[in-house]
Amino acid sequence: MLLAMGTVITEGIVHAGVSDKCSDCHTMHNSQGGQPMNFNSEATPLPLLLRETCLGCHTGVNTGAASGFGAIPKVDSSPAAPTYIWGGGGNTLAGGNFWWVGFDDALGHNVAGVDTPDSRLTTPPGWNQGAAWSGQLKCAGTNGCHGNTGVADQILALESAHHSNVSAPPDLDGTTIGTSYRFLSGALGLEDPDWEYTLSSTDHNQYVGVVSRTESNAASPATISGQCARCHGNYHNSSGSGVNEISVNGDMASPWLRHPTDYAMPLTGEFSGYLNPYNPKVPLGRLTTELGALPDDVSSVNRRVIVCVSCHVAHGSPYKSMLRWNYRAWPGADPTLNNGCQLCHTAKG
Amino acid sequence: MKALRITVSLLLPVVLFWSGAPGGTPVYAQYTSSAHGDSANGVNRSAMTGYARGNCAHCHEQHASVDGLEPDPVADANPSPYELFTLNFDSAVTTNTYQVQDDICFRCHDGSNTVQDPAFQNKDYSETFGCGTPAATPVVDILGAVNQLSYHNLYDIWTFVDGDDTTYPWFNSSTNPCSGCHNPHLARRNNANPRDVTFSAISLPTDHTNLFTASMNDTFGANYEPPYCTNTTDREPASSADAATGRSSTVDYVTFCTDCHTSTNTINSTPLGRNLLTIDWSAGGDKHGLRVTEGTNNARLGPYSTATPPTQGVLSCLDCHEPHGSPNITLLRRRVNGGDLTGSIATALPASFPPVTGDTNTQNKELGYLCMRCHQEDATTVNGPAPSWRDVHHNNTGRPYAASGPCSQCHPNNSPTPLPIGCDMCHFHGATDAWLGGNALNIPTF
Repeated sequence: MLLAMGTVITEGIVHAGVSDKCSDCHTMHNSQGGQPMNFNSEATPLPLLLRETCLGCHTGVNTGAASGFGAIPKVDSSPAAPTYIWGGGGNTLAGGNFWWVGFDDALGHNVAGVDTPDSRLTTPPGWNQGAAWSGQLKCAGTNGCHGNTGVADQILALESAHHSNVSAPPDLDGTTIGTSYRFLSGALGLEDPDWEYTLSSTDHNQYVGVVSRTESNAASPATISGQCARCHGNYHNSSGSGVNEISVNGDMASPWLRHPTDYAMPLTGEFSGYLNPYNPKVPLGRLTTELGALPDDVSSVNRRVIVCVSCHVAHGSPYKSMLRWNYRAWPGADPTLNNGCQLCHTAKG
Repeated sequence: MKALRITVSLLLPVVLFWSGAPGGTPVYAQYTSSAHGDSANGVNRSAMTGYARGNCAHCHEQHASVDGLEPDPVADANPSPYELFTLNFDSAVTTNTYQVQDDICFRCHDGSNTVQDPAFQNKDYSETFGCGTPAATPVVDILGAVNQLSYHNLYDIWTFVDGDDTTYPWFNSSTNPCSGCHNPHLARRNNANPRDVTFSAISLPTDHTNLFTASMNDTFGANYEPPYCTNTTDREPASSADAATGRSSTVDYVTFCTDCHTSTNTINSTPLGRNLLTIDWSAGGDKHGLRVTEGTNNARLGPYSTATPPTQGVLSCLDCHEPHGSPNITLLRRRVNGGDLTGSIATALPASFPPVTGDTNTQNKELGYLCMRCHQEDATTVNGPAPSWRDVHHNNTGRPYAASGPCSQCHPNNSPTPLPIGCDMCHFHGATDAWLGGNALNIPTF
């Protein structure tokens, strides 16, 4: 099926600008010559006259191609296993890959269509919303990460988004889904053109964070961590103001009850060893005012914000808790491996 | 789908490898060489299946949970400061008997109820460094140690260190009092390497971010005479071959302990209901410290009985005291200078201590069980069971008090068999005999 789809789409470019042929993605009647036009041959038409679901287009192996089907970012590798290399060099993108969640629920987000619901968890860890969680996680919509969170259907939640996609400010201003960072509603940032297929200190996404915040402030959808907090809100309340939780200081200050996010990593003390350049193994966020310039410079607290994705990837990884590195194996026989914590906590004393 | 993935997953090890860090220069050695970070002997919480020994997660849960679940101990599911898996220290507990839930350290340093796999032991100083055998009621872990008669009171440490933000800025109300002496990321396995100060388990409270590895030799040289250990043939710590080895192998506990126990710091003791005695170990302070010893014959026992003892001989605090707790009062060791104490020193000091003029003589000679490990008691017992100390006070060359006279000036009764004076009336840190009032010589008596 994917090969067939690739044949069809290589004539056009999807996503940014959605140029060329409408028929690459849409079908008027899901029928031509008596056959369904959906790429998976399903006779049931899809919303927005689409020919495929999210995963239908975003499943495959990333090749770094600049155009055609190969240019579509793939988040669920098929048929082959993705190549994940901590810090870059494989064929996974910034969010990792859903491939691994099929082996272990702790290795990825259990998105509908990718895997069955999590066998252990019935509520997202750190969930602090008033209403109980129900249903399975989706790519987009109310139960998803992308698109309009007020729309239940994941396809409708992304209506028009691909047609208005932008990747950098000032156009990327978070006012619409299309102008939000990676279609995360309200999120700001600067997208790497190849979504970190190639990755280095100067070639990477720029995530938005805030230097510090008060505990009473709600997580901002503008920050990447604030997006995670939609479901994992207690994890954003690093000093403990979650439901039925104690609070040591009542505000964002050490000692942390949880690892802080949306907080500037100091330039001093045990963190002083995280020097320039930016280390793609443990990405740091930055203020919106810092987007674009000096991609490899983390010498200012405004460009060294701890974000959820400093440690985790959004889709999945080979490592438990969707971590970027094999945390559980550290220190092991060689503590220079799997040393993600120590890349920031450079002198623990 | 899953079956296919399992098949292809066999390829994963081939493609996963570590690439060099373009960012900062990580420092691993300090933690990974510590007792907790040691990949062979370090922390290993039983509930954390799949985590390498020494991994941060055995103590820290970055999200107060793991994979969305609460690993053991589940009774304390609330997030804890420093992202610890349970409450760091319960400051509502002001005295022993401590329970495992009172301090996170006890969760592992309790050999009988540990969350650590495998269980391990921390024996007292008298055994580990002093060549002793287990006590009749063995103390094999830190929780057991601090649940003895006298102990380093955790609440008092917490109060004292937290109360001085100038001297100890790193300590706050959420800090564990054990951290006053130990940095858990640096402390090493001194008990497994008792003759190597680089394996020290302590950090100066005023220098918390560095391991304290100075030796008694570094600071005091030959002025420090390590006590005997197994017998008179070897020395502390842990059967060091000779004095030189012993003093190079003993951590400089004088500098360490007097980091808090200075001559001026006021440290309250909740169990004692008073402030602790101040310690002046300088040349102007106690004779067991650096004060020049007077006289030539003070009936000292070996190894302190040499013909030419150092004029500024100095003891290590741990020559007499346990660091965590003791079956005796004031953390006095059960074994000193190559031998076990022959009696228990369990009678509490008077509530109003130190004594002042007019106080009643306690007649408590228990402290003599400690003194006689280094000082010669009477060759012939004068009054009551050993120890007795008439010779050193009245007969020997250099005696401080008259060989004869009206005993009742100081003793409760007159000759020929005066009742003893309690050791604790004159012999304690900073002591003189001033309580004797008009009969006092006002000389240093400790």
